[in-house]
Amino acid sequence: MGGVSLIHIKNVSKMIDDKYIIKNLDLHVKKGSIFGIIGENGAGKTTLIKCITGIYKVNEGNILINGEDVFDNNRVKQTIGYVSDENQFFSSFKVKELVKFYQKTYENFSQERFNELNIKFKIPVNRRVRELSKGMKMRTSILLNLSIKPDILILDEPTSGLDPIIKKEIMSIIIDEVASRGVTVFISSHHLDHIERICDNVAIIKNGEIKLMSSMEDAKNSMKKLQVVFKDVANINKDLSSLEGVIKVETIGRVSYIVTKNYTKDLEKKLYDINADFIEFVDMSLEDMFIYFVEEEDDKNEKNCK
Amino acid sequence: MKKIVNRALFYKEWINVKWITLLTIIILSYYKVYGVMSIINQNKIWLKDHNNGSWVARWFNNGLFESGSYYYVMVFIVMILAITLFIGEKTSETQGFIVSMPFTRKEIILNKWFVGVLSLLISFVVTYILLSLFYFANLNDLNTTLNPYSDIVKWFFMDIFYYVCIFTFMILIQAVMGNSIVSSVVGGVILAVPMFVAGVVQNLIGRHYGFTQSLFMGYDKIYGWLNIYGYNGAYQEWYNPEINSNNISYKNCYYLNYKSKLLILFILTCLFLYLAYVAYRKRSLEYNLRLSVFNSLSPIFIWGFAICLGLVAGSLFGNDRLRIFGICFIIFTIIGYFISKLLLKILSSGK
Repeated sequence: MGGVSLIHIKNVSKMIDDKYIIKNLDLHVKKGSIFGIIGENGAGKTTLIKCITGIYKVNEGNILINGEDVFDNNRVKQTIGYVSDENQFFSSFKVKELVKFYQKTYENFSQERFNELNIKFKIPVNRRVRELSKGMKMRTSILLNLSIKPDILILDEPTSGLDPIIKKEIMSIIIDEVASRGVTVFISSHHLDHIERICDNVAIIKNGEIKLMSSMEDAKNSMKKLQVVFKDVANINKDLSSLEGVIKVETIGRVSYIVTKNYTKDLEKKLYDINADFIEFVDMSLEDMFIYFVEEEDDKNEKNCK
Repeated sequence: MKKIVNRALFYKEWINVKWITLLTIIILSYYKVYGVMSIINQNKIWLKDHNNGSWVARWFNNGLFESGSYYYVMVFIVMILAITLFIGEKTSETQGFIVSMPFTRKEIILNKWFVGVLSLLISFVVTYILLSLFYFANLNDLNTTLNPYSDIVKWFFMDIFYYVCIFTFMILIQAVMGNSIVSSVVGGVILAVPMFVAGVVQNLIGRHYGFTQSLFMGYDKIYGWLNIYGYNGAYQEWYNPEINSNNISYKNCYYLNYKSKLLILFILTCLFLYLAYVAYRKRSLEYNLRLSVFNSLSPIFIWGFAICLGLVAGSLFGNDRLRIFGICFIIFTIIGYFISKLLLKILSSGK
């Protein structure tokens, strides 16, 4: 997670109706990286994104982009492209009117880039926004925000409502933008396979707090699922659960599946010490990791409540 | 000027407002240009039918200052103008769009105001030109001493100042309230409240102390001051010549306290605009769709609604006796209190 931070979120809290939606959140996103944020519905992802884009004013802390506060700051906002999770355009506008509006708003708007991308996106510019399908509206938003040549691209569920072909196309365009122009991407999505495929770093947010933040590689190295065969399986489950870093144990016959969030060679040694016959690593997707992580957090909360 | 007017925001607001401008021009032309046209037509028909009839010498003056439903229709147009400017940013989907773009809150609110004022100005200038053309085209039929050209100039400044002031007030209400349609309706109702309260009080005093002419004349004056909707109306003075004389009665329309009215309207416009700017800058977008965006203003809404409901019910059911009025007022104020609290709760659930 080293390198120059372009987005720096320092101890940020956001309250709505006297309830903390985001609480003491610290996060930094390296320039030219793709940062994914994942969490359950209502975890605070969209609120966080609305704070980063300057839509909401934070109650505590600061959000700095390139060292400057984002709220009500035109210079910073000129560099941000924001794709919302739902249609954000005025329904009575024609697409060509939106293009003109973006042209007048953003200094870096490029008509050539728009035309070039629209060959792939196929947006009819003479149609009104209300006449476009959900997927087309999302494509229009992505197209316009790529045409402003942003330094930071903030995407809130950018692939919702899109067909698989266009989804793949958008993901490859985003990767191209990062590779060719060094764009920093902050993405929130429920499609964890996309996050896994394109992100350098990932954070898990739960109840407005960041529970895990690491590079994708570190996350995969520390959170592992082991398939272990024991010589004698009786009464072993209790011992397994008490091992440091183990968050889940499932046993089927002689085979136990152990999920750990802090994998070390030590764990393997301890398993052999308690009569493990055979240990094998099972591939874990980001989705599996997310599910185990959330389950563990829920268990912890339940225990605390009791 | 360049710093205030943002060309992107101007472009966006103008797309929405251009149709309202057209509608305003049509309405103004109907009430004012067609107003003077119809009076000259009536005069000509009268002359044709009655060979010895009299020509209404002040026909242009009377046609221009004819009131009728003009004041209410124009306030309605101003309400629609304010709704049109804000409705885009007050829906759950599009509310974050503009504020996520490189515009400051100051630029957003000032450009809305600027485009709204421009829309009104264009409409009034077009009507002014049409009226002037009509005036000069009919110079042969006009007594320019009784129908001076300055009437058009005076009407232009009075109405433009007045409707800009009302529009700025609507902008202020839009800045402190959520739903754009409800905001405009509340804005329109607030303007009618002083007149309504004065009417109720006048009626109550009349019932209690009897109808004395001096009291009523005094009250009529107060009522006239509180009638915000008629603030830009010209005073109509009737002249009734003696019976059996050959002259017919006529009226002359002119503004009372013209310059002070313009000054007051200008000061109020500046005040409302400043308050709207402060409110919009402090507005939290997470409460954008609520009835009242600022919690501290909720009690004003609750009690304002409750008292108005009490007064309406009191004057409807207790018109004859003061005691019945009082009982109805108290009961319906309490009911109004709970209704307004419920309304706030229901209309505050969206984020």
